[in-house]
Amino acid sequence: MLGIALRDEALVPAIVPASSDLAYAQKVTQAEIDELVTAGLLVATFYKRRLTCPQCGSDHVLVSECCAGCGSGDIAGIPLIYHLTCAAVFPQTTRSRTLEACPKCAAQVDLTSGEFEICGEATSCNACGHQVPESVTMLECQYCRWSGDAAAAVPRRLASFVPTELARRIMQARAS
Amino acid sequence: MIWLSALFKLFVATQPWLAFVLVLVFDVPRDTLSFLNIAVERFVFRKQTVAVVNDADIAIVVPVLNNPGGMLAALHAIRNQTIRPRQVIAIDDGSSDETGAILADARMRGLVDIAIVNNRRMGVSGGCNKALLFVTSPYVLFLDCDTELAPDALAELVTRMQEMNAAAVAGNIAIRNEAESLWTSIQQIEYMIAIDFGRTFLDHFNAIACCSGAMTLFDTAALRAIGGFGAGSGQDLDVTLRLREAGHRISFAPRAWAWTDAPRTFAALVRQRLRWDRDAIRIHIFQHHQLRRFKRWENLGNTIQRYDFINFTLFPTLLLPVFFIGILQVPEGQLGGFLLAGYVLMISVTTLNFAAVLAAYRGPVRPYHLLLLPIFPVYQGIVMKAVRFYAFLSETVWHASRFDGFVPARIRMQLYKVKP
Repeated sequence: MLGIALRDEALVPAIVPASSDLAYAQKVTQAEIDELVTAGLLVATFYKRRLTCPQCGSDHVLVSECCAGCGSGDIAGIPLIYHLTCAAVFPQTTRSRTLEACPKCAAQVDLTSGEFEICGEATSCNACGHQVPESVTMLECQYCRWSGDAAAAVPRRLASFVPTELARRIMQARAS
Repeated sequence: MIWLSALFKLFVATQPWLAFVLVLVFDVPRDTLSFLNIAVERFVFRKQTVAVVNDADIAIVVPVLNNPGGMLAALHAIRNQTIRPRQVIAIDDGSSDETGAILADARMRGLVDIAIVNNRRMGVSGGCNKALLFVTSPYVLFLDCDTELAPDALAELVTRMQEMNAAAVAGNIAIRNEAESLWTSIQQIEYMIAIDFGRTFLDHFNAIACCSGAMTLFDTAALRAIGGFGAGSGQDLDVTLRLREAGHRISFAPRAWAWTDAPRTFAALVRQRLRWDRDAIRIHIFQHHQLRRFKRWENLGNTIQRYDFINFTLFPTLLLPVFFIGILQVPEGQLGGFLLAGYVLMISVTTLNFAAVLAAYRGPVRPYHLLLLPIFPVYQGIVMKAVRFYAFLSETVWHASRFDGFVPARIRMQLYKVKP
Protein backbone atom coordinates (compact mmCIF):
# COMPACT_ATOMS: atom_id res chain seq x y z
CA MET A 1 0.00 0.00 0.00
CA LEU A 2 2.90 2.33 0.76
CA GLY A 3 4.04 1.86 -2.83
CA ILE A 4 0.92 3.63 -4.03
CA ALA A 5 1.89 6.79 -2.17
CA LEU A 6 5.48 6.52 -3.42
CA ARG A 7 4.67 6.37 -7.17
CA ASP A 8 4.73 10.16 -7.57
CA GLU A 9 1.47 10.19 -9.49
CA ALA A 10 -1.98 11.59 -8.64
CA LEU A 11 -4.78 9.22 -7.67
CA VAL A 12 -7.75 10.36 -9.77
CA PRO A 13 -11.25 8.96 -9.21
CA ALA A 14 -12.95 7.40 -12.24
CA ILE A 15 -16.35 5.86 -13.00
CA VAL A 16 -16.56 2.06 -13.05
CA PRO A 17 -19.34 0.79 -15.34
CA ALA A 18 -20.64 -2.01 -13.10
CA SER A 19 -20.59 -0.11 -9.80
CA SER A 20 -22.10 3.03 -8.32
CA ASP A 21 -18.78 3.76 -6.56
CA LEU A 22 -15.78 5.53 -8.01
CA ALA A 23 -12.53 3.68 -8.48
CA TYR A 24 -8.85 4.50 -9.05
CA ALA A 25 -6.64 3.26 -11.83
CA GLN A 26 -4.05 2.23 -9.20
CA LYS A 27 -6.50 -0.47 -7.89
CA VAL A 28 -6.66 1.06 -4.46
CA THR A 29 -9.76 1.42 -2.31
CA GLN A 30 -11.04 4.61 -0.72
CA ALA A 31 -10.35 3.18 2.75
CA GLU A 32 -6.69 2.60 1.85
CA ILE A 33 -6.36 6.13 0.53
CA ASP A 34 -7.87 7.50 3.72
CA GLU A 35 -5.26 5.58 5.72
CA LEU A 36 -2.41 7.04 3.66
CA VAL A 37 -3.88 10.51 4.14
CA THR A 38 -3.96 9.92 7.90
CA ALA A 39 -0.33 8.78 7.76
CA GLY A 40 0.59 12.07 6.11
CA LEU A 41 1.74 10.47 2.82
CA LEU A 42 -1.12 11.68 0.58
CA VAL A 43 -2.97 14.99 0.49
CA ALA A 44 -6.37 15.67 -1.07
CA THR A 45 -6.68 18.38 -3.72
CA PHE A 46 -9.76 19.58 -5.59
CA TYR A 47 -10.38 17.55 -8.72
CA LYS A 48 -13.94 18.13 -10.04
CA ARG A 49 -17.46 19.11 -9.05
CA ARG A 50 -19.84 16.56 -10.47
CA LEU A 51 -23.60 16.10 -10.51
CA THR A 52 -24.73 12.89 -8.89
CA CYS A 53 -27.99 11.02 -8.86
CA PRO A 54 -30.28 12.37 -6.10
CA GLN A 55 -31.64 8.87 -5.56
CA CYS A 56 -28.58 6.61 -5.29
CA GLY A 57 -25.72 9.11 -5.16
CA SER A 58 -24.06 7.54 -8.18
CA ASP A 59 -21.91 9.51 -10.60
CA HIS A 60 -23.24 7.41 -13.47
CA VAL A 61 -25.50 10.10 -14.90
CA LEU A 62 -26.06 10.93 -18.54
CA VAL A 63 -26.94 14.47 -19.53
CA SER A 64 -29.46 15.04 -22.32
CA GLU A 65 -31.30 18.05 -23.75
CA CYS A 66 -35.07 17.77 -24.02
CA CYS A 67 -38.13 19.76 -25.03
CA ALA A 68 -39.53 21.72 -22.09
CA GLY A 69 -43.07 20.92 -23.23
CA CYS A 70 -43.11 17.17 -23.83
CA GLY A 71 -39.69 15.96 -22.66
CA SER A 72 -38.77 14.57 -26.06
CA GLY A 73 -35.15 14.60 -27.09
CA ASP A 74 -36.12 15.13 -30.73
CA ILE A 75 -35.25 18.83 -30.73
CA ALA A 76 -33.30 21.19 -32.93
CA GLY A 77 -31.94 24.68 -32.52
CA ILE A 78 -33.28 27.16 -35.07
CA PRO A 79 -31.86 30.66 -35.55
CA LEU A 80 -34.39 33.50 -35.18
CA ILE A 81 -34.44 36.26 -37.77
CA TYR A 82 -35.38 39.82 -36.82
CA HIS A 83 -36.67 42.11 -39.57
CA LEU A 84 -35.70 45.56 -38.36
CA THR A 85 -38.16 47.51 -40.54
CA CYS A 86 -41.33 45.64 -39.58
CA ALA A 87 -40.23 44.17 -36.20
CA ALA A 88 -41.15 40.62 -37.26
CA VAL A 89 -39.29 37.83 -35.50
CA PHE A 90 -39.46 34.43 -37.16
CA PRO A 91 -37.50 31.17 -37.27
CA GLN A 92 -35.10 30.66 -40.14
CA THR A 93 -36.51 27.85 -42.24
CA THR A 94 -33.71 27.48 -44.74
CA ARG A 95 -29.96 27.61 -44.40
CA SER A 96 -29.75 29.92 -47.40
CA ARG A 97 -29.04 33.53 -46.48
CA THR A 98 -31.30 35.00 -49.20
CA LEU A 99 -34.08 32.58 -50.17
CA GLU A 100 -36.67 33.31 -47.47
CA ALA A 101 -39.42 35.94 -47.29
CA CYS A 102 -40.51 37.81 -44.16
CA PRO A 103 -43.86 36.27 -43.09
CA LYS A 104 -45.17 39.70 -42.05
CA CYS A 105 -44.27 42.01 -44.93
CA ALA A 106 -43.05 39.52 -47.59
CA ALA A 107 -39.71 41.30 -48.00
CA GLN A 108 -36.96 39.00 -49.20
CA VAL A 109 -34.65 37.99 -46.40
CA ASP A 110 -31.08 39.08 -46.95
CA LEU A 111 -28.92 38.70 -43.88
CA THR A 112 -26.15 40.72 -45.50
CA SER A 113 -28.28 43.82 -46.11
CA GLY A 114 -28.45 45.09 -42.52
CA GLU A 115 -32.25 45.02 -42.69
CA PHE A 116 -32.35 41.52 -41.20
CA GLU A 117 -30.31 40.09 -38.38
CA ILE A 118 -30.11 36.91 -36.32
CA CYS A 119 -31.50 37.78 -32.90
CA GLY A 120 -31.03 34.49 -31.06
CA GLU A 121 -32.07 30.89 -31.30
CA ALA A 122 -35.18 28.93 -30.51
CA THR A 123 -35.38 25.27 -29.70
CA SER A 124 -37.99 23.57 -31.80
CA CYS A 125 -39.43 20.19 -30.84
CA ASN A 126 -40.15 17.80 -33.70
CA ALA A 127 -42.38 15.70 -31.46
CA CYS A 128 -44.84 18.31 -30.14
CA GLY A 129 -44.08 21.29 -32.36
CA HIS A 130 -43.40 23.69 -29.47
CA GLN A 131 -40.81 26.41 -29.72
CA VAL A 132 -39.00 27.49 -26.60
CA PRO A 133 -36.04 29.83 -26.13
CA GLU A 134 -33.95 27.02 -24.70
CA SER A 135 -34.16 23.30 -24.06
CA VAL A 136 -34.32 21.66 -20.64
CA THR A 137 -31.29 19.73 -19.38
CA MET A 138 -32.27 16.30 -18.08
CA LEU A 139 -30.24 13.69 -16.21
CA GLU A 140 -30.60 9.94 -16.37
CA CYS A 141 -28.88 7.70 -13.81
CA GLN A 142 -27.32 4.68 -15.50
CA TYR A 143 -27.15 2.81 -12.22
CA CYS A 144 -30.62 3.15 -10.64
CA ARG A 145 -32.49 4.43 -13.78
CA TRP A 146 -33.67 7.63 -12.10
CA SER A 147 -34.33 10.45 -14.57
CA GLY A 148 -35.31 14.06 -14.00
CA ASP A 149 -34.44 17.74 -14.24
CA ALA A 150 -30.76 18.54 -13.87
CA ALA A 151 -31.67 21.05 -11.15
CA ALA A 152 -32.60 18.11 -8.87
CA ALA A 153 -29.14 16.52 -9.12
CA VAL A 154 -26.85 16.71 -6.09
CA PRO A 155 -23.47 18.34 -6.74
CA ARG A 156 -20.49 16.48 -5.26
CA ARG A 157 -16.91 17.68 -4.84
CA LEU A 158 -14.39 15.09 -5.92
CA ALA A 159 -10.79 15.04 -4.72
CA SER A 160 -7.67 13.62 -6.28
CA PHE A 161 -4.73 12.62 -4.06
CA VAL A 162 -1.09 13.52 -4.53
CA PRO A 163 2.01 12.53 -2.50
CA THR A 164 3.01 14.85 0.32
CA GLU A 165 6.48 16.32 0.91
CA LEU A 166 7.12 13.52 3.40
CA ALA A 167 6.32 10.88 0.73
CA ARG A 168 8.65 12.65 -1.73
CA ARG A 169 11.49 12.69 0.78
CA ILE A 170 11.03 8.95 1.37
CA MET A 171 11.09 8.41 -2.41
CA GLN A 172 14.31 10.41 -2.72
CA ALA A 173 15.93 8.49 0.15
CA ARG A 174 14.94 5.21 -1.49
CA ALA A 175 16.34 6.30 -4.83
CA SER A 176 19.68 7.34 -3.35
CA MET B 1 -73.19 86.89 -9.72
CA ILE B 2 -73.61 90.25 -11.42
CA TRP B 3 -69.90 90.67 -11.92
CA LEU B 4 -69.67 87.11 -13.20
CA SER B 5 -72.37 87.82 -15.72
CA ALA B 6 -70.61 91.06 -16.72
CA LEU B 7 -67.33 89.19 -17.13
CA PHE B 8 -69.00 86.56 -19.29
CA LYS B 9 -70.59 89.24 -21.49
CA LEU B 10 -67.22 90.95 -21.84
CA PHE B 11 -65.62 87.61 -22.77
CA VAL B 12 -68.12 86.85 -25.53
CA ALA B 13 -68.62 90.41 -26.77
CA THR B 14 -64.94 91.38 -27.02
CA GLN B 15 -64.01 88.72 -29.55
CA PRO B 16 -66.91 86.27 -30.15
CA TRP B 17 -64.88 84.05 -32.50
CA LEU B 18 -61.94 84.03 -30.13
CA ALA B 19 -64.19 83.01 -27.25
CA PHE B 20 -65.43 80.13 -29.42
CA VAL B 21 -61.86 79.12 -30.27
CA LEU B 22 -60.90 79.23 -26.60
CA VAL B 23 -63.74 76.92 -25.68
CA LEU B 24 -62.65 74.51 -28.41
CA VAL B 25 -59.02 74.70 -27.36
CA PHE B 26 -60.01 73.66 -23.87
CA ASP B 27 -61.98 70.64 -25.14
CA VAL B 28 -64.95 71.89 -23.15
CA PRO B 29 -67.91 70.19 -24.84
CA ARG B 30 -66.40 66.71 -25.11
CA ASP B 31 -64.84 66.50 -21.68
CA THR B 32 -67.76 67.91 -19.75
CA LEU B 33 -70.38 65.81 -21.49
CA SER B 34 -68.38 62.61 -21.16
CA PHE B 35 -67.56 63.20 -17.49
CA LEU B 36 -71.17 63.95 -16.58
CA ASN B 37 -72.34 60.92 -18.52
CA ILE B 38 -69.96 58.55 -16.75
CA ALA B 39 -70.47 60.08 -13.31
CA VAL B 40 -74.24 59.58 -13.60
CA GLU B 41 -73.75 56.08 -15.01
CA ARG B 42 -71.44 55.06 -12.16
CA PHE B 43 -73.85 56.27 -9.55
CA VAL B 44 -76.72 54.42 -11.18
CA PHE B 45 -74.79 51.15 -11.59
CA ARG B 46 -72.65 51.44 -8.46
CA LYS B 47 -74.02 48.26 -6.85
CA GLN B 48 -73.59 46.16 -9.95
CA THR B 49 -70.96 43.47 -9.62
CA VAL B 50 -69.26 41.65 -12.43
CA ALA B 51 -68.56 37.92 -12.34
CA VAL B 52 -64.81 37.47 -12.34
CA VAL B 53 -63.23 34.36 -13.82
CA ASN B 54 -61.25 32.14 -11.46
CA ASP B 55 -59.17 30.32 -13.97
CA ALA B 56 -57.86 31.26 -17.39
CA ASP B 57 -54.96 30.32 -19.60
CA ILE B 58 -52.83 33.48 -19.78
CA ALA B 59 -49.23 34.31 -20.57
CA ILE B 60 -47.59 37.48 -19.31
CA VAL B 61 -44.73 39.15 -21.14
CA VAL B 62 -42.57 41.70 -19.29
CA PRO B 63 -39.99 43.52 -21.43
CA VAL B 64 -37.26 45.16 -19.37
CA LEU B 65 -34.34 47.49 -20.00
CA ASN B 66 -32.07 48.61 -17.16
CA ASN B 67 -34.75 48.50 -14.46
CA PRO B 68 -34.16 45.51 -12.13
CA GLY B 69 -36.07 47.05 -9.20
CA GLY B 70 -39.16 47.78 -11.28
CA MET B 71 -38.98 44.32 -12.84
CA LEU B 72 -38.89 42.56 -9.46
CA ALA B 73 -41.86 44.62 -8.19
CA ALA B 74 -43.80 43.73 -11.35
CA LEU B 75 -42.92 40.02 -11.00
CA HIS B 76 -43.95 39.89 -7.34
CA ALA B 77 -47.27 41.54 -8.23
CA ILE B 78 -47.78 38.88 -10.92
CA ARG B 79 -47.18 36.16 -8.34
CA ASN B 80 -49.92 37.69 -6.14
CA GLN B 81 -52.60 37.50 -8.83
CA THR B 82 -55.88 35.81 -7.97
CA ILE B 83 -55.51 33.70 -11.10
CA ARG B 84 -52.15 32.18 -11.85
CA PRO B 85 -50.75 32.79 -15.34
CA ARG B 86 -49.52 29.74 -17.22
CA GLN B 87 -46.36 31.43 -18.48
CA VAL B 88 -44.41 34.43 -17.26
CA ILE B 89 -41.91 35.50 -19.90
CA ALA B 90 -39.41 38.24 -19.10
CA ILE B 91 -37.22 39.66 -21.83
CA ASP B 92 -34.10 41.62 -21.02
CA ASP B 93 -33.52 43.82 -24.05
CA GLY B 94 -29.77 44.32 -23.82
CA SER B 95 -29.55 45.89 -20.35
CA SER B 96 -26.16 47.28 -19.41
CA ASP B 97 -26.67 47.00 -15.63
CA GLU B 98 -27.37 44.06 -13.29
CA THR B 99 -30.83 43.37 -14.78
CA GLY B 100 -29.62 40.18 -16.55
CA ALA B 101 -28.25 38.66 -13.34
CA ILE B 102 -31.36 39.58 -11.36
CA LEU B 103 -33.54 38.09 -14.10
CA ALA B 104 -31.54 34.84 -13.93
CA ASP B 105 -32.05 34.80 -10.16
CA ALA B 106 -35.79 35.49 -10.58
CA ARG B 107 -35.97 32.52 -12.91
CA MET B 108 -34.22 30.28 -10.38
CA ARG B 109 -36.74 31.41 -7.74
CA GLY B 110 -39.68 30.55 -10.00
CA LEU B 111 -40.86 34.13 -10.57
CA VAL B 112 -40.24 33.73 -14.30
CA ASP B 113 -40.85 30.67 -16.48
CA ILE B 114 -38.97 31.82 -19.56
CA ALA B 115 -36.15 34.36 -19.44
CA ILE B 116 -34.98 35.75 -22.77
CA VAL B 117 -31.80 37.79 -22.85
CA ASN B 118 -30.98 39.89 -25.90
CA ASN B 119 -27.29 40.67 -26.13
CA ARG B 120 -28.15 43.45 -28.55
CA ARG B 121 -31.12 45.81 -28.12
CA MET B 122 -34.09 44.96 -30.34
CA GLY B 123 -36.42 47.69 -29.08
CA VAL B 124 -39.73 47.08 -27.32
CA SER B 125 -41.56 45.91 -30.47
CA GLY B 126 -38.89 43.40 -31.50
CA GLY B 127 -38.52 42.11 -27.95
CA CYS B 128 -42.26 41.64 -27.52
CA ASN B 129 -42.55 39.92 -30.91
CA LYS B 130 -39.71 37.59 -29.95
CA ALA B 131 -41.50 36.72 -26.70
CA LEU B 132 -44.77 36.25 -28.61
CA LEU B 133 -43.13 33.37 -30.51
CA PHE B 134 -42.96 31.39 -27.26
CA VAL B 135 -46.46 32.14 -25.96
CA THR B 136 -48.65 29.03 -25.80
CA SER B 137 -51.72 30.57 -24.12
CA PRO B 138 -54.78 32.00 -25.89
CA TYR B 139 -54.39 35.30 -24.01
CA VAL B 140 -51.22 37.29 -23.52
CA LEU B 141 -50.71 40.30 -21.27
CA PHE B 142 -47.95 42.74 -22.14
CA LEU B 143 -46.82 44.56 -19.02
CA ASP B 144 -44.28 47.36 -18.68
CA CYS B 145 -41.49 46.52 -16.27
CA ASP B 146 -42.31 49.53 -14.07
CA THR B 147 -46.00 48.62 -13.81
CA GLU B 148 -47.41 46.83 -10.79
CA LEU B 149 -50.68 44.93 -11.12
CA ALA B 150 -53.43 44.94 -8.49
CA PRO B 151 -54.10 41.35 -7.29
CA ASP B 152 -57.35 40.97 -9.27
CA ALA B 153 -56.19 42.85 -12.41
CA LEU B 154 -55.63 39.73 -14.49
CA ALA B 155 -59.03 38.29 -13.59
CA GLU B 156 -60.75 41.60 -14.44
CA LEU B 157 -58.98 41.85 -17.79
CA VAL B 158 -59.90 38.31 -18.82
CA THR B 159 -63.48 38.78 -17.67
CA ARG B 160 -63.79 41.89 -19.83
CA MET B 161 -62.08 40.16 -22.74
CA GLN B 162 -64.56 37.28 -22.67
CA GLU B 163 -67.54 39.55 -21.98
CA MET B 164 -66.83 41.84 -24.94
CA ASN B 165 -65.29 39.20 -27.22
CA ALA B 166 -62.47 41.69 -27.71
CA ALA B 167 -59.03 41.26 -29.27
CA ALA B 168 -57.42 43.68 -26.82
CA VAL B 169 -58.40 44.98 -23.41
CA ALA B 170 -56.61 47.88 -21.75
CA GLY B 171 -56.42 48.24 -17.99
CA ASN B 172 -56.88 51.22 -15.70
CA ILE B 173 -53.63 52.92 -14.71
CA ALA B 174 -52.83 55.17 -11.78
CA ILE B 175 -49.64 56.98 -10.84
CA ARG B 176 -47.66 55.20 -8.11
CA ASN B 177 -45.48 58.22 -7.26
CA GLU B 178 -48.25 60.82 -7.44
CA ALA B 179 -47.25 62.45 -4.14
CA GLU B 180 -43.66 63.06 -5.26
CA SER B 181 -44.08 66.39 -7.04
CA LEU B 182 -46.59 68.83 -8.46
CA TRP B 183 -46.07 67.30 -11.88
CA THR B 184 -46.75 63.73 -10.80
CA SER B 185 -49.92 64.88 -8.97
CA ILE B 186 -51.20 66.73 -12.00
CA GLN B 187 -50.45 63.70 -14.18
CA GLN B 188 -52.57 61.61 -11.81
CA ILE B 189 -55.49 63.97 -12.50
CA GLU B 190 -54.80 63.59 -16.22
CA TYR B 191 -54.77 59.79 -15.92
CA MET B 192 -58.03 59.90 -13.93
CA ILE B 193 -59.63 61.92 -16.70
CA ALA B 194 -58.06 60.39 -19.79
CA ILE B 195 -57.96 56.74 -18.76
CA ASP B 196 -60.62 56.04 -16.13
CA PHE B 197 -63.17 58.38 -17.66
CA GLY B 198 -61.99 58.90 -21.23
CA ARG B 199 -61.57 55.24 -22.10
CA THR B 200 -64.78 54.20 -20.33
CA PHE B 201 -66.65 56.77 -22.42
CA LEU B 202 -64.98 55.76 -25.69
CA ASP B 203 -65.57 52.08 -24.91
CA HIS B 204 -69.33 52.73 -25.15
CA PHE B 205 -68.79 53.48 -28.85
CA ASN B 206 -66.01 50.94 -29.48
CA ALA B 207 -63.77 53.93 -30.22
CA ILE B 208 -60.65 53.36 -28.07
CA ALA B 209 -57.65 54.39 -30.14
CA CYS B 210 -54.82 53.24 -27.92
CA CYS B 211 -54.44 50.38 -25.47
CA SER B 212 -51.63 51.54 -23.24
CA GLY B 213 -48.32 49.71 -23.55
CA ALA B 214 -48.13 49.67 -19.75
CA MET B 215 -50.79 46.98 -19.46
CA THR B 216 -52.87 45.41 -22.23
CA LEU B 217 -54.29 41.93 -22.58
CA PHE B 218 -54.38 40.60 -26.14
CA ASP B 219 -56.00 37.68 -27.86
CA THR B 220 -52.85 35.81 -28.92
CA ALA B 221 -54.27 34.56 -32.23
CA ALA B 222 -55.54 38.02 -33.24
CA LEU B 223 -52.22 39.62 -32.35
CA ARG B 224 -50.28 37.00 -34.31
CA ALA B 225 -52.63 37.36 -37.28
CA ILE B 226 -51.69 41.04 -37.67
CA GLY B 227 -47.99 40.24 -37.32
CA GLY B 228 -47.55 41.38 -33.73
CA PHE B 229 -46.17 44.80 -32.90
CA GLY B 230 -44.94 47.20 -35.56
CA ALA B 231 -41.47 48.71 -35.75
CA GLY B 232 -40.64 52.09 -34.25
CA SER B 233 -41.97 53.96 -31.25
CA GLY B 234 -45.68 54.26 -30.37
CA GLN B 235 -46.10 50.51 -30.90
CA ASP B 236 -49.09 50.39 -28.52
CA LEU B 237 -51.08 52.93 -30.57
CA ASP B 238 -50.09 51.29 -33.85
CA VAL B 239 -51.05 47.77 -32.77
CA THR B 240 -54.43 48.97 -31.45
CA LEU B 241 -55.23 50.75 -34.71
CA ARG B 242 -54.17 47.71 -36.76
CA LEU B 243 -56.40 45.45 -34.66
CA ARG B 244 -59.26 47.92 -35.19
CA GLU B 245 -58.65 47.97 -38.94
CA ALA B 246 -58.70 44.16 -38.93
CA GLY B 247 -62.26 44.44 -37.57
CA HIS B 248 -61.59 43.53 -33.94
CA ARG B 249 -63.29 44.93 -30.86
CA ILE B 250 -61.08 46.84 -28.45
CA SER B 251 -62.24 47.26 -24.88
CA PHE B 252 -61.35 48.72 -21.51
CA ALA B 253 -61.51 47.09 -18.06
CA PRO B 254 -61.92 49.97 -15.56
CA ARG B 255 -61.58 47.66 -12.54
CA ALA B 256 -58.28 46.14 -13.70
CA TRP B 257 -55.84 48.40 -11.86
CA ALA B 258 -52.12 48.86 -12.21
CA TRP B 259 -49.71 51.47 -10.88
CA THR B 260 -46.86 52.99 -12.77
CA ASP B 261 -44.27 55.71 -12.20
CA ALA B 262 -44.67 59.08 -13.94
CA PRO B 263 -41.94 61.62 -14.78
CA ARG B 264 -41.10 63.67 -11.67
CA THR B 265 -39.82 66.86 -13.26
CA PHE B 266 -41.39 69.19 -15.78
CA ALA B 267 -38.51 68.65 -18.24
CA ALA B 268 -38.93 64.86 -18.11
CA LEU B 269 -42.69 65.23 -18.50
CA VAL B 270 -42.27 67.45 -21.59
CA ARG B 271 -39.80 64.97 -23.11
CA GLN B 272 -42.26 62.11 -22.57
CA ARG B 273 -45.19 64.07 -24.03
CA LEU B 274 -43.22 65.22 -27.04
CA ARG B 275 -42.47 61.60 -27.81
CA TRP B 276 -46.08 60.49 -27.30
CA ASP B 277 -47.50 63.34 -29.38
CA ARG B 278 -45.00 62.90 -32.21
CA ASP B 279 -45.93 59.21 -32.30
CA ALA B 280 -49.63 60.12 -32.23
CA ILE B 281 -49.56 62.34 -35.31
CA ARG B 282 -47.15 60.08 -37.20
CA ILE B 283 -49.21 56.96 -36.58
CA HIS B 284 -52.72 58.46 -36.85
CA ILE B 285 -52.12 60.69 -39.84
CA PHE B 286 -49.11 59.44 -41.80
CA GLN B 287 -49.18 55.69 -41.13
CA HIS B 288 -52.92 55.06 -40.84
CA HIS B 289 -54.14 57.97 -43.00
CA GLN B 290 -56.86 58.89 -40.53
CA LEU B 291 -57.47 62.28 -42.14
CA ARG B 292 -59.20 60.65 -45.10
CA ARG B 293 -62.81 61.82 -45.06
CA PHE B 294 -64.26 58.46 -45.86
CA LYS B 295 -62.80 54.99 -45.55
CA ARG B 296 -64.48 52.16 -47.35
CA TRP B 297 -66.05 49.49 -45.14
CA GLU B 298 -65.16 51.42 -42.04
CA ASN B 299 -67.40 50.60 -39.10
CA LEU B 300 -69.01 53.24 -36.88
CA GLY B 301 -66.55 52.68 -34.01
CA ASN B 302 -63.58 53.33 -36.28
CA THR B 303 -65.22 56.47 -37.68
CA ILE B 304 -65.87 57.78 -34.15
CA GLN B 305 -62.30 56.91 -33.16
CA ARG B 306 -60.89 58.82 -36.17
CA TYR B 307 -63.04 61.89 -35.64
CA ASP B 308 -62.34 61.82 -31.92
CA PHE B 309 -58.66 62.31 -32.73
CA ILE B 310 -59.25 64.84 -35.51
CA ASN B 311 -61.85 66.97 -33.72
CA PHE B 312 -60.71 66.78 -30.12
CA THR B 313 -56.93 66.41 -30.38
CA LEU B 314 -55.65 67.57 -33.76
CA PHE B 315 -58.04 70.47 -34.46
CA PRO B 316 -57.91 72.15 -30.99
CA THR B 317 -54.10 71.86 -31.00
CA LEU B 318 -53.81 73.46 -34.41
CA LEU B 319 -56.12 76.25 -33.20
CA LEU B 320 -53.72 77.22 -30.42
CA PRO B 321 -51.73 79.78 -32.49
CA VAL B 322 -55.05 81.29 -33.64
CA PHE B 323 -55.89 81.81 -29.99
CA PHE B 324 -52.63 83.67 -29.36
CA ILE B 325 -53.05 85.77 -32.52
CA GLY B 326 -56.59 86.60 -31.43
CA ILE B 327 -55.36 87.76 -28.02
CA LEU B 328 -53.11 90.27 -29.74
CA GLN B 329 -56.19 91.75 -31.43
CA VAL B 330 -58.13 92.29 -28.21
CA PRO B 331 -58.27 96.05 -27.48
CA GLU B 332 -55.60 96.93 -24.92
CA GLY B 333 -58.01 98.20 -22.28
CA GLN B 334 -60.09 95.02 -22.44
CA LEU B 335 -57.27 92.44 -22.47
CA GLY B 336 -57.09 91.97 -18.68
CA GLY B 337 -60.85 91.62 -18.37
CA PHE B 338 -61.01 89.25 -21.35
CA LEU B 339 -58.31 86.94 -19.95
CA LEU B 340 -59.82 87.03 -16.48
CA ALA B 341 -63.26 86.25 -17.88
CA GLY B 342 -61.81 83.40 -19.95
CA TYR B 343 -60.00 82.01 -16.91
CA VAL B 344 -63.12 82.22 -14.72
CA LEU B 345 -65.12 80.44 -17.41
CA MET B 346 -62.51 77.68 -17.66
CA ILE B 347 -62.28 77.33 -13.89
CA SER B 348 -66.08 77.00 -13.72
CA VAL B 349 -66.08 74.28 -16.36
CA THR B 350 -63.09 72.54 -14.73
CA THR B 351 -64.86 72.65 -11.36
CA LEU B 352 -67.82 70.91 -12.94
CA ASN B 353 -65.49 68.34 -14.52
CA PHE B 354 -63.52 67.87 -11.29
CA ALA B 355 -66.71 67.38 -9.30
CA ALA B 356 -67.80 64.62 -11.66
CA VAL B 357 -64.35 63.02 -11.77
CA LEU B 358 -63.59 63.17 -8.05
CA ALA B 359 -67.05 61.92 -7.12
CA ALA B 360 -67.07 58.97 -9.46
CA TYR B 361 -63.38 58.03 -9.80
CA ARG B 362 -62.91 54.34 -9.06
CA GLY B 363 -59.55 54.78 -7.35
CA PRO B 364 -58.61 56.75 -4.22
CA VAL B 365 -59.18 60.53 -4.30
CA ARG B 366 -56.76 62.68 -2.25
CA PRO B 367 -57.67 66.06 -0.74
CA TYR B 368 -54.75 67.75 -2.51
CA HIS B 369 -56.28 66.91 -5.88
CA LEU B 370 -58.63 69.85 -5.22
CA LEU B 371 -55.66 72.19 -4.80
CA LEU B 372 -54.75 71.53 -8.43
CA LEU B 373 -58.05 72.96 -9.63
CA PRO B 374 -56.78 76.55 -10.25
CA ILE B 375 -53.82 75.46 -12.38
CA PHE B 376 -55.27 72.46 -14.18
CA PRO B 377 -57.07 74.39 -16.99
CA VAL B 378 -53.90 76.35 -17.79
CA TYR B 379 -51.79 73.18 -17.64
CA GLN B 380 -54.10 71.16 -19.84
CA GLY B 381 -55.40 73.89 -22.14
CA ILE B 382 -52.27 75.96 -22.70
CA VAL B 383 -49.06 74.28 -21.50
CA MET B 384 -49.66 70.72 -22.68
CA LYS B 385 -51.37 71.96 -25.82
CA ALA B 386 -48.31 74.08 -26.64
CA VAL B 387 -46.11 71.00 -26.11
CA ARG B 388 -48.40 69.01 -28.38
CA PHE B 389 -48.40 71.76 -31.01
CA TYR B 390 -44.60 71.76 -31.05
CA ALA B 391 -44.56 67.94 -31.26
CA PHE B 392 -46.98 67.96 -34.20
CA LEU B 393 -44.97 70.67 -35.94
CA SER B 394 -41.62 68.98 -35.36
CA GLU B 395 -42.93 65.65 -36.60
CA THR B 396 -44.65 67.08 -39.68
CA VAL B 397 -41.81 69.35 -40.72
CA TRP B 398 -38.65 67.67 -39.41
CA HIS B 399 -39.79 64.06 -38.81
CA ALA B 400 -38.40 64.39 -35.30
CA SER B 401 -39.36 60.85 -34.23
CA ARG B 402 -36.60 59.55 -36.51
CA PHE B 403 -34.14 60.81 -33.90
CA ASP B 404 -35.95 59.30 -30.91
CA GLY B 405 -33.53 57.22 -28.82
CA PHE B 406 -36.44 55.05 -27.64
CA VAL B 407 -35.77 52.97 -30.77
CA PRO B 408 -32.20 51.64 -31.22
CA ALA B 409 -30.18 53.68 -33.72
CA ARG B 410 -29.54 50.83 -36.17
CA ILE B 411 -33.28 50.11 -36.37
CA ARG B 412 -34.08 53.80 -37.03
CA MET B 413 -31.41 53.80 -39.70
CA GLN B 414 -33.07 50.88 -41.47
CA LEU B 415 -36.60 52.13 -40.83
CA TYR B 416 -36.16 55.63 -42.19
CA LYS B 417 -33.13 54.98 -44.42
CA VAL B 418 -31.40 57.99 -42.89
CA LYS B 419 -28.45 58.41 -40.57
CA PRO B 420 -29.96 59.17 -37.15
